[in-house]
Amino acid sequence: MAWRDMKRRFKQQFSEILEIPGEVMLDLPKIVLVGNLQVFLENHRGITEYTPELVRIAVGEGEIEIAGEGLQLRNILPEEMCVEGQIKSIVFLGGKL
Amino acid sequence: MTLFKIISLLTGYVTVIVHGSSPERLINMASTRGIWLWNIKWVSRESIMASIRLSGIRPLRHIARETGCRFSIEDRFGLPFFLSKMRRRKTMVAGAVLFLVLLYMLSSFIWFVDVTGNTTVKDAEVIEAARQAGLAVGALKWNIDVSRVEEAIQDNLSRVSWAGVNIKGTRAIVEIVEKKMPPEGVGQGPSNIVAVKDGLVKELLVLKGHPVVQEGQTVNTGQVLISGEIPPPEVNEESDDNQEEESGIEPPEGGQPSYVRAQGIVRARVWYDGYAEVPLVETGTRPTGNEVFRVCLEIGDKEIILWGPEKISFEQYNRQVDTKKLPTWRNINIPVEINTERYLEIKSFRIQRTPTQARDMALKKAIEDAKKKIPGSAQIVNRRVEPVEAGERKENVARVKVVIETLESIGTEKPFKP
Repeated sequence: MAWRDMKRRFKQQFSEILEIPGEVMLDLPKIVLVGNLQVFLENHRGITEYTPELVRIAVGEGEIEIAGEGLQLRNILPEEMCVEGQIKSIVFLGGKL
Repeated sequence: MTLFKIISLLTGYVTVIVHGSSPERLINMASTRGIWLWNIKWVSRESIMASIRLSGIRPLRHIARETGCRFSIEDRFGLPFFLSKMRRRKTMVAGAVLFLVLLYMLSSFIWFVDVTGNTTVKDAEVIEAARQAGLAVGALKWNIDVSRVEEAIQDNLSRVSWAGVNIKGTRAIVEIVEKKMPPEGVGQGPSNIVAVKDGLVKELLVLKGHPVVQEGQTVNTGQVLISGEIPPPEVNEESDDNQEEESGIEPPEGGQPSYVRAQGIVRARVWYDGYAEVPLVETGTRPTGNEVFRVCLEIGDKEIILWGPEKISFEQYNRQVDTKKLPTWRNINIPVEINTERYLEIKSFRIQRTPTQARDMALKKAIEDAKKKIPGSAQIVNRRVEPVEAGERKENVARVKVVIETLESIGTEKPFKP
């Protein structure tokens, strides 16, 4: 087992014991979906690709891919963003979250 | 979010179109450097549209240079742009300011003075009294001391017992309550008691004055019942004391009559007639209670229905029209009217009555007819139904005449000059 995995597992257990929310301790993205109309995303690392059909957002150690139609970036702040449009799927790509 | 938008409107924001090989990089850099971007839309490959605050334009230029993008401003929103636009249209701004100033100035004058509540006092008198106290058409609203005006009206007009001044916008409403004055001449000089109705005197109670009629006598309207003129006592009569008591005043010396204000109660029997006829077969129309409103605009000969149905669905109806027109001015008559039409549905009916039914109904109507004339204070003594002789041919009508006898006071005070 790699050293990195060990470290991560320890963090996870630590946060579970102390009941600290994962997005704070483990730097995980927090995603809120409003129907299929809006996605609120906290803890992002910027967008890597943007077209009306696909938005890829860098998070922690991977990427989130939002597919849909007529997607817009409603709002971008350093820590959070909001994607609007007709959302069809949200896919986690690469890395371990 | 709304707060962000309001602040953005105040500071001003623009929409920009970014061209470049990777606008995503520009978005990322902007967001990490704290430049707020919103409403990011995809325009075409390698170009996006975004909104940005005015303060973010300069930093965005640096970022664009670093990422190798170009951007152009598409549209401008917010207060700073509005102000600069207004700076170029000074006359319009001046007009708007002038409008507000004029509106304020004109609304600070009194334009109308209305007088309400007066019946005997003339409007002009009240307006004149108000004018002297400072309330007049054209007066400044702020300079009017309402309580002073009220007092002045009350003081200057003796027949006003209370005055209230209400200023509503540019309209001053003067409310007047008048004093109730006794009838002219009554209470000062001598007076008679005269009959107000024809009747048969039943009771006569003289408090002061000289009785002219006797109980059981028939009197006509206007006839003197108790005279205020007391004739001199007959000298040769012995019972001087007796008469003094009767008239209630001291008999004057010599042959001069004395004058008093006659007082007394005269109760008489009065007859009232009531007549009614009810046909055995009645036909006519009566409203059904259904109605339709219609508002029309009439321009010349053309009529435009503003509200209401195009066609009236009633078979028979009465039409009531309320017409509103623009006021005419110097022979200029604008042929535009607004008619508020009210259509009341009516229906014809036919009622067949038996002779007894008709007679009962006629009797009821006749009594009602007679009672309309009887004052409330009268006491009904007797009621008599009189036959009505029918014509030669057999009539389809029931006729009833009713005579109601009442006992009531028929005396009223009437001053006279000796």
